[in-house]
Amino acid sequence: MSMIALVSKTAGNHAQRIAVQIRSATTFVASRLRGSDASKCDGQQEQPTVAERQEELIAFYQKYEELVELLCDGAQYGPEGKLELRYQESRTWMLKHYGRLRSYLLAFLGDEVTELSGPRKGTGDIDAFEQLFLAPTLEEFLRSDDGFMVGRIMSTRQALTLYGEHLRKLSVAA
Amino acid sequence: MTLRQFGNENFEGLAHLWAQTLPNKYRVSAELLRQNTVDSGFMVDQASFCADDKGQVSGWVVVKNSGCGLYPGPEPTWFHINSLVFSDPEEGQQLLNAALKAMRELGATKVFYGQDLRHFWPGVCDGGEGIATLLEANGFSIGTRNIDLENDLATYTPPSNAFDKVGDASFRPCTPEDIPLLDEFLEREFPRRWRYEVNWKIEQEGTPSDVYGCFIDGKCEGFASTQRQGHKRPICGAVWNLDLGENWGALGPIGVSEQIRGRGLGGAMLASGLLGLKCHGVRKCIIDWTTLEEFYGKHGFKANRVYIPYTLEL
Repeated sequence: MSMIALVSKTAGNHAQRIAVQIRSATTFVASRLRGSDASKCDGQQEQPTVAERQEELIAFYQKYEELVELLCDGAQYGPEGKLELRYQESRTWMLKHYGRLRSYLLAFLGDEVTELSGPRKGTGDIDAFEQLFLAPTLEEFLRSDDGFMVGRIMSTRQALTLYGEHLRKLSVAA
Repeated sequence: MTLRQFGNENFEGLAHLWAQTLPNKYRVSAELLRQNTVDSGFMVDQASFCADDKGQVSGWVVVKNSGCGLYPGPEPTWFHINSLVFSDPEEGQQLLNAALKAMRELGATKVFYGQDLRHFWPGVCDGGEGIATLLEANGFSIGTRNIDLENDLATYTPPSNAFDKVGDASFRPCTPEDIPLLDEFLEREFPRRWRYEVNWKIEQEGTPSDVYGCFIDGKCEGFASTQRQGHKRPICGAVWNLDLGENWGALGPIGVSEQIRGRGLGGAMLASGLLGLKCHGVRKCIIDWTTLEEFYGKHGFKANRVYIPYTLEL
């Protein structure tokens, strides 16, 4: 538990920095391919543009860091009322929005099992992101900590950074 | 610009065009381009095209079959884009359209970018974002990011505890007499692509001595496949030997049997293979197509190439 608290100190600044990096490195070029008849194969559904995906990632990243912050606060102070309420709000948002990013983010999670992180992909059918918000309550989340939560936060954060970098490169290439 | 079937091309010219469109670390020789395309035995002629601009090739797409039947796993309706090189996005789109149309006509149900037998890469490489943009715009799904790692073996020494728990296991290059033991192990533990490729490589090079084995009680329980300068058919990470430089080497695939995992024998197997390469004078060594950055990092390896796999369900 105490190790989780170490993660939270720079979380807010880090979130801002990543969001700025994603934004500033991007010219938000509307995809040259979108809307071009020549650009699509027959029967393909229209894909979201890189710019749209970047906006989605930025929004997700900010909510993700809020979640990490409150998980760390919970580890330090226990699941007191306000934190539990914030967890419920955060969890609801994640349940609603994570699905759209899941396939992309899993691509950047890697699957190395390390002493620190445990299985980065998560355990069973639950991935490492989901393990941060699927517990029904903050109290349950803290109770079921398997000791890999710090590593899981680090690897999910890295996955967000790598996906952001991937989108930045795509936006430059577009 | 017109499209025509890819065939017996001027591979020197293709290698030059390849080098213009990708980062320097991914340059390849004309010979390797030929080996991994028309001479691979897997190229699908009907789905492979050149973009011809007034007699000059300005781009190409090479499609290969899955090697279905060579080992368990691949389906006959799976196809691989071995390479997609283009000078501008419109040309890339036309090449991709033509290849996908041909694959559909051949009954394709799934298309992979890379990962083919005699492949260049397991996905779109860093610096190939134009290709990634094109694939994503055409509905390809993203797969798990993976990397190649490299280390200069001139100063390599294994971690101090690498051989602490090996017990009575012995690690050594395979001899011709070991081939049945090695194949029994591969069939038991890695019966798919690894078994096929290790046996193919031994056949091509005419010796199993670049495969290191872990032997316990008369049985093979682990292996590490290695390559080095002078090999006739560089595969896997060794395709980047121009960038690796003089006295290049490669390690992989590598694996130990399920029943001996957790005893540190994988690390010992790796150290054994790397020390073998070092004894042969190998300098820059590559370990390709992996996500195990921490495991190989303990042996001094650092990531130098990144790939994003893409697949399309048709």
